[in-house]
Amino acid sequence: MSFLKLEKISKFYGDLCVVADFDLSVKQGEFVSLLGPSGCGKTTTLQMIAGFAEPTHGRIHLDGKDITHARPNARGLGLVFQSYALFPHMTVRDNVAFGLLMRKVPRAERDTRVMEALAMVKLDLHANRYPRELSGGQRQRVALARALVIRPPVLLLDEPLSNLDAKLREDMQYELRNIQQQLGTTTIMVTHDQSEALSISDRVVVMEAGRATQIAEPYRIYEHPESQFISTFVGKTNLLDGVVKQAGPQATVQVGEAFLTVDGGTLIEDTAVQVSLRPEKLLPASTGDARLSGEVQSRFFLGSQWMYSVRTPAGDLTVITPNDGRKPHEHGARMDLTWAEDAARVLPASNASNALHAPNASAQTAAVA
Amino acid sequence: MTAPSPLSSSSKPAATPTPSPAPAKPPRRQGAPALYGALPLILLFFTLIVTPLVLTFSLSFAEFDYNTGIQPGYTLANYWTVFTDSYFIEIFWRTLWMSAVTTVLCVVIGAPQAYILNRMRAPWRSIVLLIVLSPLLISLVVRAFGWSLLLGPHGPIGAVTQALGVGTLLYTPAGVILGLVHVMLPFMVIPVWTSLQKLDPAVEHAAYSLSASPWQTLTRVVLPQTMPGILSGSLIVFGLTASSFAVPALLGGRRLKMVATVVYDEFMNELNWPLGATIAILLLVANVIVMMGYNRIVERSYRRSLG
Amino acid sequence: MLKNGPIALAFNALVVTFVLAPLVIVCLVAFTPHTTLSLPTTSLSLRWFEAVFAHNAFMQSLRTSLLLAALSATIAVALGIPAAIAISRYRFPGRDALNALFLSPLMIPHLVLGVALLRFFALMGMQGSFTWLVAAHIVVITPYVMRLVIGALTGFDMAIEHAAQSLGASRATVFFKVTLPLIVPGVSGGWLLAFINSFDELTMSVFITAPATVTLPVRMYMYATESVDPMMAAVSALVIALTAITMFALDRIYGLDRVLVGSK
Repeated sequence: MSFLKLEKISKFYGDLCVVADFDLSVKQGEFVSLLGPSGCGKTTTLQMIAGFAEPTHGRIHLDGKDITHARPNARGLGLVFQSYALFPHMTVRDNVAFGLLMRKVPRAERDTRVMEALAMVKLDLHANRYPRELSGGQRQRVALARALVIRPPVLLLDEPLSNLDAKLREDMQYELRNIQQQLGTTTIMVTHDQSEALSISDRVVVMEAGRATQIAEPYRIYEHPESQFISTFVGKTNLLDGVVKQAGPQATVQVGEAFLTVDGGTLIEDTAVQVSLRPEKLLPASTGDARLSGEVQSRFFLGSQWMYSVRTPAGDLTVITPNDGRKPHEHGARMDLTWAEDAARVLPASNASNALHAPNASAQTAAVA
Repeated sequence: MTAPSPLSSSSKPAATPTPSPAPAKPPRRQGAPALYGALPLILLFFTLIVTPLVLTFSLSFAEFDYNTGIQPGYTLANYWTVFTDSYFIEIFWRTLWMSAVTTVLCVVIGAPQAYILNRMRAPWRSIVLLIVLSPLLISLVVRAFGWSLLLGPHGPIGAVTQALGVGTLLYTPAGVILGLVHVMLPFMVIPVWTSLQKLDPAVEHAAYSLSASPWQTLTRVVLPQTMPGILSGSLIVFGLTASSFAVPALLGGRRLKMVATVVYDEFMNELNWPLGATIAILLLVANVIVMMGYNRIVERSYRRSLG
Repeated sequence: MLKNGPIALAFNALVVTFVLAPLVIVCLVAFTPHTTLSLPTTSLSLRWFEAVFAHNAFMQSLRTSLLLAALSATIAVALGIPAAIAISRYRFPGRDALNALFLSPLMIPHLVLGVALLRFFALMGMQGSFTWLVAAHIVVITPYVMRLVIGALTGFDMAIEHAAQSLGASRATVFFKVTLPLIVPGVSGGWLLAFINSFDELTMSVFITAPATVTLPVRMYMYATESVDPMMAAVSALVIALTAITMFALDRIYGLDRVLVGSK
């Protein structure tokens, strides 16, 4: 039984389609992320849930009620804006109390709940400060407290962490998740940062050009991306063009000058495909077990990992190995690679319905910020 | 133009002495030599502002005889006359209440207008803003004359008021106030507009999302943040109105005197320069106090919250 | 919810009408064929414009005002640029006081300035002098020049000048070939704004003009208090037209909204 349901939601601005046929059922207490590049329609979708944009088609149901056309100040949802949108002329306490004031909560209860909310975000000592006296991270927590104190049925977050610096962002991610789980509030977060979406969501909705291209748990999105776009947007991968040479349960695909064995599945001979190999799935092997051999072209030290560019018969591959103390491969050295059975994914080449923004489809590594 | 314009209210220097710092502040070089370039202008200012004002100040203490003119010697008689003669007190009082009414009307019309402008989308926004502000650059005489046409017996407003049996509004306080509001309105719209530009639009959305009605959002969220602009505009309008000459002269006629027209009378008709000088000095002092008032009162109380 | 409702738009329409009404009626009356102040009900006529151009006193005042405005704006800009450079780029004791001095005309009612100068000129035997009239106008329009020129200078990236110097340009070359061209919009905007303000100036000029130097606004004021006929409307219409042209030029060069409201 879904708590929040978006049914065939579409948004048109004149002839321009910004969101198309968006379907989503969210269970109570779930944390769902809308993930995608800018312009994919994720913020518009959130605005439609909040009531600041009217859906052109479709319906939105909350706890059984149709709220598609309800006014934003009647929906009672908790909103955290990208710029936090704190009331600059009010203290932190008054900011958080605002929603309760509008609901005519009696004073004593209001004060208690406000201090509880501030304690939850660890800002109880700053209750009498003004927003401009706070740091970015502190303002973000005030915005969160203000949205949660009203005990909303759904919490909507619009890129809440994008204005924070990297270290703070990481810490806040987990704090956000903790608070959400503590309260059990159904949450929808919009973000363009895939690591953020993957690390704290129950489910991720990957959006592209106004459509939801895959809705699944984070692990599934990463390991079984359903399109070329997703496989390059979420995580890094080596995307290799190839042709199916021999079909069967274990098919053979010719990639460059190499012949790779992959899970056959439904592959048809002589069709063009793309093979996706994630850099961390490429493992150093002993010469006998190697599926591919190549020469190290360049090497980068990333702290916890080593990243290599290796020239193989299948093309230039990016390989990532953990920095586990072993001696790294030298420039120009030979590197033998292997990978687990199901680590190589095969996608149809130039998948028209998904790859509207297909990156240049030659053997390359596509990385995501 | 009678006086301070948009300058007092924009983020750039105006009534406040210090210029606001540039975004990426370049280090300033030490250099008294730079002063040489400014010397001619400094000389001009000292000659034409400081000296004449000092002379006027001393003139206010001069003795005056209607038959023989300015006498040597010093006296406080002029100040005494100004503060005790009922003629002048009545004029000061009239100037005061008319300035107050004008200020209130400017707030009531100008602040909502700035708010409505803020919500318009391009291109209407810039177009209407320019229409509302451009009278600033058109001569006062033209504007006052235009009002005399509108209010006079042959004008549309005059026709209406005559039909209502009130006669024309020309040469009445109401007519003068109408003209003054017309002239002063831009000085209210600009500071309110400026403070509205500093608002984060998402803040209004935040208020709605917390179940505030449009009215509550306006009064609890938008208005408090524009208060500095409204106060600043009020002070400027009040100061300008109190010292305004052209509009009261042209729309007020001979009988409806305000401070500025009385000064004109004393200087040009009565030739009692010392008395005129006294009133002028008092007007200057009052004006400076009002203009400085903004820096002290408003900035202090809002510095903590709105910066 | 965040758009203007019908009440707001009606209010806006009323305000715009209020603001434009006196200007519109002046322009209408200027074209009246009748001999009294009235709206042109039967036909449009240029007779009052002809009367203006035939009226010696008005024409002389128009010339005086144009010359006065052009002279004072030009000199104000010439004197103001070095002063603006000193204030915006250098630190020296008294810098703030200097800035306050140059902006002080804004805080002094023109009425007070007018009577003070009247007294001053009388004492020095300079009453009726055109030169000193120009000087007085320079003083009241300087704040407008300073604001725009200082604004142009503070928004100026000093690195550009340093780049020019590192490529071998002398200080003078840098000023004339790099700095000046880049602050031209601010300078010309300042000139135009100063021009308009000098041209419009009434209150101070009423006290310090003599019959030979009567400016157009003062002439109009005197005319309005003595006799009222449509010629006054015709002159006013001409002034509106001239102001509109200047505003258009100001908008092109600098941006009228920036001038009126200030940069964001």
